[in-house]
Amino acid sequence: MSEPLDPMGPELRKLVDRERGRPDPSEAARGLVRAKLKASLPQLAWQAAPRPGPREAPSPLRGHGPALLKPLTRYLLVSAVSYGAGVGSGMALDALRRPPAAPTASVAPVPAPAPVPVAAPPAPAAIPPPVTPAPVPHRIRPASRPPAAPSRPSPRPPPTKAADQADADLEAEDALVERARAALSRRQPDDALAALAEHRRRFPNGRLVEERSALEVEALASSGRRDDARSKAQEFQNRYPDSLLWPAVQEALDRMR
Amino acid sequence: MTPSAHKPESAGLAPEQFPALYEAALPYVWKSLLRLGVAEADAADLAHEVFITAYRALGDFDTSRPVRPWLFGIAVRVTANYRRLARHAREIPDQDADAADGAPDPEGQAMASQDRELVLAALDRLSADQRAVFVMHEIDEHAMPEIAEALGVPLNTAYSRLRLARAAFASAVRSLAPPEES
Repeated sequence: MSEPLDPMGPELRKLVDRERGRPDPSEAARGLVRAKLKASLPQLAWQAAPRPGPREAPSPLRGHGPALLKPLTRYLLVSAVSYGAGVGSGMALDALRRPPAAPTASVAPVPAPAPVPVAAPPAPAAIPPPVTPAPVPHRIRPASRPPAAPSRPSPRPPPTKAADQADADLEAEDALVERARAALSRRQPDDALAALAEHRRRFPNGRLVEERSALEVEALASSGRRDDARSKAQEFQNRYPDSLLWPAVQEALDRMR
Repeated sequence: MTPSAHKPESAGLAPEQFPALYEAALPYVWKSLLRLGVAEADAADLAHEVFITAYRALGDFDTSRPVRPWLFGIAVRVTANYRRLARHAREIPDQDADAADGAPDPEGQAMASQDRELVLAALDRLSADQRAVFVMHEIDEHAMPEIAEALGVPLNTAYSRLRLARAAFASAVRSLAPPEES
């Protein structure tokens, strides 16, 4: 093989290193995905989103960093069998694995500096087949701008109050949806409907409207309001024909029968 | 070949482990999606889909293998659907999201952020196949055999894509980067 020692070169390597340091998603983003997953998989024991203070207070931790490890992640970190150096979620992910007998150093045959191997190479074993997701239409906003070459240096605006407000709103939305979900799991559909009504009032066009609508069907079904549940389910299907939450909605309807 | 020949030796994560998997893996999945060309505004929906797909396949996962390449493989396939349906161009991400409040070195942070955007813009010039290999190897530092497994391609193909990806990435950076100020 006649490749140079580092086919990327120092400049490109520096760029890639910078990308490797990309900040983690914000707490708001984590909360949004968690809320969607909770709605899709309500049977699982989801940890409540960590909040720094009062339940609906905006997070001062908006942003990034290893300090934002979640309780379960911390548990995994604590319980992890030693895997050598690792930080944050990478190490926690390793804890999900059954460790091979003797972890060894990672070997990357392509000549490229790889100072921090991500995971020890496992013993040869059967490989899980590639998982092909069912095509799901996305609610995608058409892009208004093509990728642009950044110019430098350019001053960057400070974080806006609008962004902070969006984070706070999402936390509040998530708290209401979570309250409804918790009430449903306690078999208190009226409480769930009250939380969802409050969400509807405060966030008529919020980011968790799809989740709210699915929970409404479940709450109505659970409270015995069959016609309302069917009607809401029909609305849901019309509005979100390819929703990942549709199976949960259907299941709620099935339980009424 | 019998069906059991495909069965992993240590198969399956338990569903109870899934919330922990989510908490630990979301940052990785999120960043992988951005690197695969998903607009920041769509990343939550796509991450949701990646994890739902992973949940449905928990029983197939070989726990003696690393989790990240497995999730990345799912992300690649989810993103392929997304790109096919969206025919979108990547939005310029909200730069506020990169700005740490009270950052000690705002100019350095700004430069780093711009470099990251340059990387994403350059990745946009790669084919989807090359991009996946490049991100896994050069950014996530996975070993090539892991990458070949995760993407379901022969090892030689993975190496070939990496070589082409490096050349395409270098060319893209050259054409996108502004000339250095003297």
